[in-house]
Formats: sequence, C-alpha cells, structure tokens
Amino acid sequence: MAERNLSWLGIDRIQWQALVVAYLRMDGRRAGGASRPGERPGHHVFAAYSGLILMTSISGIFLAIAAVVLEDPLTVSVVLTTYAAMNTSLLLLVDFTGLVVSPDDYRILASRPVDSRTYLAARLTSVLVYVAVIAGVMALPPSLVLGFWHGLGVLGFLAALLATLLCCACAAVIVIVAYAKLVSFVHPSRLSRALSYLQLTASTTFIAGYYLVAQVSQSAQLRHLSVRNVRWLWSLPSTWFASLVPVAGGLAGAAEWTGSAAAIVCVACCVPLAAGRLSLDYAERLSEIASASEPPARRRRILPGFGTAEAFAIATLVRAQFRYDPRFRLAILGVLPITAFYMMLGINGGTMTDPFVSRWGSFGSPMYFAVAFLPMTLHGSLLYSDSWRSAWIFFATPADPAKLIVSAKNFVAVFFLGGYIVLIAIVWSFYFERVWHAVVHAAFVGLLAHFLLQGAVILHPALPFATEPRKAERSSQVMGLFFLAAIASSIAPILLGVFYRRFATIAILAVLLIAVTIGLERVVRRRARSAVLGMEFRS
Amino acid sequence: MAASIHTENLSREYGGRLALTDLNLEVQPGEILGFLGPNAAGKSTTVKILVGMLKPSSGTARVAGFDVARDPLEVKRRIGYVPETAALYETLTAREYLALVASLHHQPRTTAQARIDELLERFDLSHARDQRLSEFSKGMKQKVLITAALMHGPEIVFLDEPLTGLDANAALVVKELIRGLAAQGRTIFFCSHVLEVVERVCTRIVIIDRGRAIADGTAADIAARTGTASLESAFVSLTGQRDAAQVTQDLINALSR
Repeated sequence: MAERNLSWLGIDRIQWQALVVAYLRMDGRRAGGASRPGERPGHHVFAAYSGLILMTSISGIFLAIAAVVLEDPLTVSVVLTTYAAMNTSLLLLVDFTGLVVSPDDYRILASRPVDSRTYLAARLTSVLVYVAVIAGVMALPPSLVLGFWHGLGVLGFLAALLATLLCCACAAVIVIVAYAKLVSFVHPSRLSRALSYLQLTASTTFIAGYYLVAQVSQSAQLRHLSVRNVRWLWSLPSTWFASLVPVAGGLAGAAEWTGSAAAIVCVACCVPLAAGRLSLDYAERLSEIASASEPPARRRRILPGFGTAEAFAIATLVRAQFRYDPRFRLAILGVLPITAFYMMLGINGGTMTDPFVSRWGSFGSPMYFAVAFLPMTLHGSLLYSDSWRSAWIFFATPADPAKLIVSAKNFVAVFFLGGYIVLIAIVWSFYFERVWHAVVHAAFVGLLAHFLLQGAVILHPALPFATEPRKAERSSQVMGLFFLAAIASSIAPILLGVFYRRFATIAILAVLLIAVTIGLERVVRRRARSAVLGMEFRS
Repeated sequence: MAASIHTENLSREYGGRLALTDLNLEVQPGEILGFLGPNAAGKSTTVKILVGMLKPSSGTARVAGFDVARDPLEVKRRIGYVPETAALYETLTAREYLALVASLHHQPRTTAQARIDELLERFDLSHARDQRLSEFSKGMKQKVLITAALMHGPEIVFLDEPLTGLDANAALVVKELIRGLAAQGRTIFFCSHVLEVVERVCTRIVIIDRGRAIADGTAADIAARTGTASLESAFVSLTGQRDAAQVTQDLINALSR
C-alpha cells in the first residue's frame, strides 16, 4: 500500500528508505565527532541526539514554568510555537549545508540512478524527523501544562504538540526557501558567517528570554498577559498555529477559528514551496556556488609583539580561524551576551558598585563570573577545531611547538581577553565614582583572569586547533571549568577589596600580580616544553 | 554491435568559456579507452556529462544506448563511476556507505551484504568495514569508491584517476581488474595523468586539449603520427605549451633566489 502510494508520487521506496536512514545517521554523527578505534559506530549517534534532547528539554521545562505562570492558554501556546519555530529556524540556518541540502549530495548521488523526487522526499523526511524530535521534546512539558494544568484535557495536550510540530515544519520550509534565495546573492561562507552572528543574537535573546521568564514568574501583572489584546500578534504565523490549542480545548472564538484555518492553509502552501528547493539540481547549484572562490581577504599588518616566526604564524592562524571558523568565533563572541546578562543582573541587584568606595557592595556581582569564565572558554576554543587535521603542519615544519602553544595563549590574552577587559573598564567607568577606579580594577581583574588562562595552559598544554571537537567531551570540560570559574569569581573580589583600602596596598598588589604573572609565564613555558616531547600527530 | 559510448558534437560551456568543443567519440563494448589531456583540458567535464552529472550545452551523448540528457536514470543504472575526488559520506562506515549505494541500485539486501563483505575482504578492508570513512586513509577511501562503482555489475565503468593513493599491490589488482572487466565485455573509460599506466592498460587512447580531441588511436599509432618514440613524448609534443626543460630551469632559478 505504502509502496504503491510512494510510486504514485514518483518516489522510489527502496532508495527513499536507504537515503533517510543514511541522512539520519549522518545528522546524529556529525555532532558527535569521529569515533574512537574499537568504538561502536552507533555510539556517537546516541550521544549526539541525547545531548540535543537534553538541551532542548531544558528549554521545554522553562517554557512549562512560563505556562504555569501565564493564565491565558492562547498566550502560552503563542510563546511555545514562536520560541520553537525560532529555535528550529536557527538550528537549520546555522547548519543548512549539513542538515538540509549538502553540496556533497550532488557529488555523491548525481552519478547514481536517483530521481530528484526521491531525493526531495528523503531530504524532506530527514529534516522533518530532525525537526519533529526537537519540537516534540521542547513542546512536551508545556503541552502537559496546557492539557492538565490549564484544563484543556488530552485534546488540548495533543493540539499543543501538533501545533508546535506543524509550526516548526513550516518554519523549516521557510528557512529552506529563504536560504535558497539568499545563497544566489551571497557566497555561502559569507552567509554562514552572517548566520553565526544571527545565532549570537539568538543566544542573547535566549538568555534574555530566561531572564524574562524569571521576571514573569515574579510579576503579578504579567500573569494576566494575553495576546488577545495585542492585535499585531495575529499577523504572526506562530499565533495562527497556536490558535489550534484553544480550538481543541473548546475555548475558541472567531479569531482562533480563523487563525487555525490560516495555519492549515500555511501547511498546504509549504509543501510545493519545499519541493522546488530540495532537488539534486539545487544541490548541484549549491556545489558550484560553494566551489567558486570568495573575494580575497584584506592583507593584514604584522601585529605588534607578534613578529617572530612562531608568534606571527599563530597570529595569522588565530585571526583566520576567527574569520572563517564559526565555532571559534561564536565561542569567543558568545561570552558577550552572557556578560551583558550578568551586567543586567548586577545593575538590577544593585551590586555594580565601585569596589574602592563600597567595601562589600560589588563583591557579589555576577559580572566576575563572566570574567572568570572567559579564559576557560578561550583556552577550550583554542584547542578544538573542525580543521584539526591541518595541524600536521606543526609537526612537519621546524617550528618550535612549545613556542606555538605559548604564542597562541599570548595572542588570545592580548587581543581577546585584553579587548574584553577594555570593554568592561568602559562599562565600569559609568558606574564607578572615578574613571581610574574602573581602569585599575579592570586591569587587576584582567591579570587574575590571565592567571586562569595560564593555569588552563599549564593543566592542558596543547597545540592550537589541533584537537578534534567532541561534543560530549567538551560539555564535561565546560562543567568542570564552570565550577572552577565559580570559585575564582567568588574569592577574587573579596581579596581585591582588601587591597583597595590604601594606595600603598594597591601598589603592592600591582607588583604582586605582575610578579605572579611572570612566574606563571615561566611555568607555562616549561610545561609547554615538557609537554611537546610526548606530542605526535594522529589523524 | 552498438557502441557503448557515442557522442556527437558534444560541447559544454561554463559562463561563456567553452570547456568542451564538438567532441565526437565512439567506444565499443570491451574496449579500454584511455582519456588523456593536460589539466583543465575538459576530461572531467566529458566524464561528468557521460555519467549524467552535467548537461551538455549542445550536441548529444549516448551511453549504453540511452541519451544522457533524456534518459539519465537509465544511463546511471548501467554505469559505475569512480570520481577524481573522494566524494563520500564520511560519517558513514564503509559497510553502511556501500549498503546505501547497493540500495540506490536496487540490489537485494542479502545479496548486497554478501557482495560488500566479499569485496571488502578482497580489497583488504574487512578489518575496517565498521569504521567511519573519515578515519580511512586516501588509499582506503579509493578502494571504497572502486567497490561502490563495481558492486552492481555495471556495463560501462568510468574511472577518473582510479589509482590515486593506492599502494603498488592494490594498484596492480585494479589494473588487472580493469583488464578482466574488459574481457567480460564491459567498457572502461579510463582518465589518468599517469601515461605509463594508460599506455600499458588501455587498448585505445584519446587525447584532448582545450576542450577538443586532438589524437585518437593506440599508443604506438599516436607516437608514430607525432614522430616521437613514446606516448609521453607524443603527449608533450601535442599539448606542451612550453618547453619542459625551460620550465624546470625557471623553477630551479626561482627556488635559488
């Protein structure tokens, strides 16, 4: 029966099935990194999907908390469908050529007897399965709240799940169409860079969203928030999908019925829209565009202090990685929204005060947590890269690997940590009584953060961008570093406050910090030198 | 007997630049055709058109009796193709990738599995069959590509630099395999820059340059026609734009500066 239906649609069932299985395997494994020798091939698929499910279910729990706080089921549904659709769109946009249509498909499949329609069906199925897993996991907790807390029953629960799934599926189609349009104007690498900034904005929104949820749960006024009173919200397709929930729960008026009808029309329109974009011909075009060279980058100056052979090589490499590797760029820039969030918390909590004046006021500021977290992030980001195999060059040239390790640390310390500290000093100067208080405090905090960076290199000296990224491994490291940063950020402000009482103690502190920096730098060099003795290139 | 490959005034242009110009070619079943040319001569473009990956700008091409532009799927069912670059789904294991290819060619699962295991064994890859392709060496990937091209028993095999990365033993096996397949009546379309191999393996050679066929015949015919002693000298005399000795001297001078 299914076979007859598929063949009526011009789809080859055997090929469709084989391609869907392969795509789902690849989607899972891509996130998990390469397998280790002797490891079962399925291991990473499970690890990658479980990581994704865990992260998505955390969002689902936050949405469920918001659903408990808000009184209007339609408003809850709108928040759910809008957030889920945004999340899906960003996931697909950022990894479009991996998850949706890959130029590799053309190179591998174009000489095989695969019809474009079968390819479309297979790609669409794999995208929809991926989207359904994410949307389903995210929608489950708030849908349970809608069904059983808000009293919409089993039908309401199922409608909330369905509305989220359909909204995400349509969002996926719109992303596919939009990307296809954009890629004809912008080179895929430039587009990918632009999208990584979009992801950064989204992560800021995400953090702000959590902050809002926390505020919502404390605000009695927001409990009564209702989209029914905000007319423009009805222009959003996610509101149309959300109106399926009150319809199923028997609470619908004319607006909800109209919204539901619009949602169904939207689903019907999406199928032909996707058909034109998920073809092998399109994969061919993508392949041609991707292989066309990008306009050359500007020639860069030699940075001061990075003129020696190894330092210059590392400066060139780190700058290029920052420009072309979205993972590295996002890891560095990702700390900005976190800092902004902690600043907001500090301002709201009244803890953004001058430590030279207020003895204990600023000690609890969550800002320090962000500052302490940055060196860990920088060190982690320096080690891992998708192009880790290119690290053979460190082993095949007469470059000193120990100098490469130290130069990489110095580059991020000067240009990333340094830049970040300057930014913080500027912000603090608005809140502190004297500008020099902000400058001195930022400099000391910067030196302390540099200790953490030096400590991270001493603990794990490794060549830059020479380690394969492994999601699960990084997560466990991040948790460990998070803990370490938490301790450092609680102790450091108290210690600094003690020294800020007199000029003499400030001078002693400056000398002390510089001395420790120099001492640690010697340890870093010695540690790097001993570590490189046991290093070898394993591809 | 009908030709396995037949092209008539086959041309292809990229953004106004002709990569292939009026190629007329006929290859018979059981023939091993060596397709030679300098870099960017149009070899890969020709192969890509014949395997249905590119559409010709003008002219026609028939492969296994089917027009490549009108019946691409019929052509693709009857051919095997080893591409110049190792294009593989690298997150799949060798076995999974070959099983995927077998399904795309509608091979019954049990038969395919047995054939995959046997071919991997013959290519000395059975120890790595459950490892991801990303962990394979260049030569191992090449063996997987060759296996994927042959496992469905194609009538015509297109090989674009098939010996890249293979060790001497594996290369010898592949060369013998090519002869064996031709002896079974299968047509081999062999693209390579390694003239010694082409000279030894191919029954006929076509040289193209700047999108045009400039020589056709056996290695001895071509050498005789150009008044040279070997295929290599004939190739240089037909396609060389600069004297090789002068280019070498220029390079040495540049490195000594």
